Amino acid sequence: MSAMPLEGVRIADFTWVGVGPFATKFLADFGADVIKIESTLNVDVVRKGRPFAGGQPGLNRSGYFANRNSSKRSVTVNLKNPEGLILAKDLIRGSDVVINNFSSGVMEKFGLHYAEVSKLNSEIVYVDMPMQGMVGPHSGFRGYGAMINALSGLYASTGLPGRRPIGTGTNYPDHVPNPLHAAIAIVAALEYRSHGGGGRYIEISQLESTANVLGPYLMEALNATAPDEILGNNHAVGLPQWVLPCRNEEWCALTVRTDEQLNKLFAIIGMDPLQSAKTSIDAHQSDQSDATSALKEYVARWLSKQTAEEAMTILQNSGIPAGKVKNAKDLLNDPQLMHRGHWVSVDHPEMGKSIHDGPVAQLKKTPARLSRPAPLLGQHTREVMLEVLNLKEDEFERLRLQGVFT
Amino acid sequence: MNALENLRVLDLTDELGGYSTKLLADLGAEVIRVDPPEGGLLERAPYLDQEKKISLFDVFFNQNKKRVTLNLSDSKGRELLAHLWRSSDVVVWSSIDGISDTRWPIIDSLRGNPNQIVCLITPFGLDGPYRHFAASDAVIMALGGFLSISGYPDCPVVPFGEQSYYAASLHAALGIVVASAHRTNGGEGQEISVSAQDAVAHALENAIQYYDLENHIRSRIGDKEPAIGTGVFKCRDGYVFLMAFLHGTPLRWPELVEWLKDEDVEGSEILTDSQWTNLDWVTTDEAKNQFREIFESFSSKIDKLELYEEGQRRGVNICPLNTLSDCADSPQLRSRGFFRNGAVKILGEELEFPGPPFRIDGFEQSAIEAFGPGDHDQEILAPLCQEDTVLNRREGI
Repeated sequence: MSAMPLEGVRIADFTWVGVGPFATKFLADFGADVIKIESTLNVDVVRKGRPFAGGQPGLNRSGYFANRNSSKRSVTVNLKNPEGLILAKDLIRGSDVVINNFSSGVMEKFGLHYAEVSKLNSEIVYVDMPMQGMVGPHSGFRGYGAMINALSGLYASTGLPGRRPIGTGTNYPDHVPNPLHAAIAIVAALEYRSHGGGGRYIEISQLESTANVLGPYLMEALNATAPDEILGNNHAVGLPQWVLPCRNEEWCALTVRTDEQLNKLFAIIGMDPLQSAKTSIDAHQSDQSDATSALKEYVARWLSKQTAEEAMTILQNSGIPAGKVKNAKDLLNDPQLMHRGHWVSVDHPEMGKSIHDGPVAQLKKTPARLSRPAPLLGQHTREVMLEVLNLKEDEFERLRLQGVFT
Repeated sequence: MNALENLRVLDLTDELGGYSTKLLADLGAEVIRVDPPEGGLLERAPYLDQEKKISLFDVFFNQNKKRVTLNLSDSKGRELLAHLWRSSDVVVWSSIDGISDTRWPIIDSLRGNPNQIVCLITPFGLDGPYRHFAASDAVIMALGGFLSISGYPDCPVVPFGEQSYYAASLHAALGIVVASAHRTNGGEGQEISVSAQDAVAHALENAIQYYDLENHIRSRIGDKEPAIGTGVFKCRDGYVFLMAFLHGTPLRWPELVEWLKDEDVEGSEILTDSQWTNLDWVTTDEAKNQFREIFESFSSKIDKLELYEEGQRRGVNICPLNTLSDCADSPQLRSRGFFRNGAVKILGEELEFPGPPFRIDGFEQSAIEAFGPGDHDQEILAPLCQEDTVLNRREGI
């Protein structure tokens, strides 16, 4: 097997909760040595977040935590203890990346902000991931990941026309744009450094990062006078598209992308094309208001008589984009996800075996892998102190008794 | 100087993967985008001017890319593509039609050079039972599980902005920079396969683990508040988002109550009672409705930005439910210079662009330029062939 692509990269990981740990998980799965700096005095809230293995709460039992902290090591160090802070700085000296997602000012309080850290290690790639940036009139404002949904416009833009907007049902920015933009920037900066470019400071404003996945529409808001519209389940460029109920409280999404598909759809649902004033995709696109209503009625009636799986199969066999709205249970049995090996079973010392998300980008020669389960709180303190920081056994013991590793 | 300035990328993406190469261009890679002669593959809504074919989708995704046009149904066009392919470090291909795309046999015939990085982005992957499935963003969101948790309890809602495309593109870009790092460190190039369905299934928060560990299937909760004061509330010019409780714990509740009392909001005096932090009470519909009535009697008279700034000054977890227009006016984004003017060649004017998603110190933010299809035909294609490419283009190559 080839070496892991990020082997030899050490990351001093001060992140916690949602967004930061996901960013470093991607790097850990590609072989970076990610050392989570934690504390028993102020535990990552996601360690306390449901679901728990067997439904039993415990700091080392959260599936939410386990899934976003695979392949990492954990040390507990009390940064408020001067000797603990020295150890953290020693760790930073020997690291390639330092990352945190605290509010602006927290790392500064410990003297672990970039200006100081770059003096310890001029080759460091240092990442801040504040909500809205380190500077600016709202940089000190309080918030949680959910609020980035609201500030970016994603929340207000998602919903059905005429109803209260509802957002995406998740803290989407924490799971997709923000951790991935951070991971991409880190690897690019490391790449630059390996060409002799030296250390780098990276700022990921979570709001600016999320604004990018709304880019074309934000450009519309910036440059055109188009009203803010809610598309609901309508297609972005006006193709006929619906998400409709089937039998047994299941749902099916379908989109019609070509005239050929439209004609096949007429045949499947038993609609005489003459009953629809619009028999071409272009006609549907140019007139959203009533174009689809007669067709939609027919589609809805047809769907209500099928299960979502049956409907999907029939439509897909005619080349019409259609998909069952799958829930978590369905997904674990989805033949395509299984074919790609998307779900990975990881054996954890306290949780036993549980299902994790596998890596999405599948690299043929150097695939990412979940090389170890999420660490127990402080599981690797001794190992890291002795092997990475070269503490002597008696020194480690002395510091331990002083409560440095809490 | 910029992070990926030594990387040459051949961009054969459609809407599914266009964001991945946009990110590589943001990081300084030389991205050469290929479009068919009949028009840009990304020319779609939203438009600045549909008649003049000024597509903001195209402009946003193709900023700072070089653009050539090739007719791939012609052998000369395919030859030129092979030239470009051979001289690239990275090739990115995507198609919403997956391997049913008519371009796939051409792509398939060119892959396989061990020194190159070739990233193939499709809705479901290159093989497996769904390999020929037809797709759209909504269909990928359905089959990736997102629509089981996004929407109202009585109806799934597709998240705004075709997010499955971004999820797939982001994972692809990560795979590409990681593969590039591997190559820089002496390793070979390699192929990367990205399935948008995988990318969406990866974005379900803790839904998979909830089922696996607690046998609970997460469903759409829509706008149902988990507790009082946690969700969307009316204000004079729209809505604000308030978080008074998180996972059953009150957040800055005294500050919120103090604010309402200072504003002499009718009914606010009852909120000091200790039952208003008792989880048994604050999760009832009665409590939620009572709080909503009190809060909205105040908030509905004030604008979102004013509620935001005053609430935050008092330490309350509140923010505006921004529309995209509000976001475009955000004092925070404006003060940070997040929006920058860029030259849009096809328009002959400047437009305002959102800045890149990351700021890497010391890397210059180059001037934004958005070119039209074929703007670099002469510069890039001419050296590749003897004939005058402008002439070829007239002949449909």
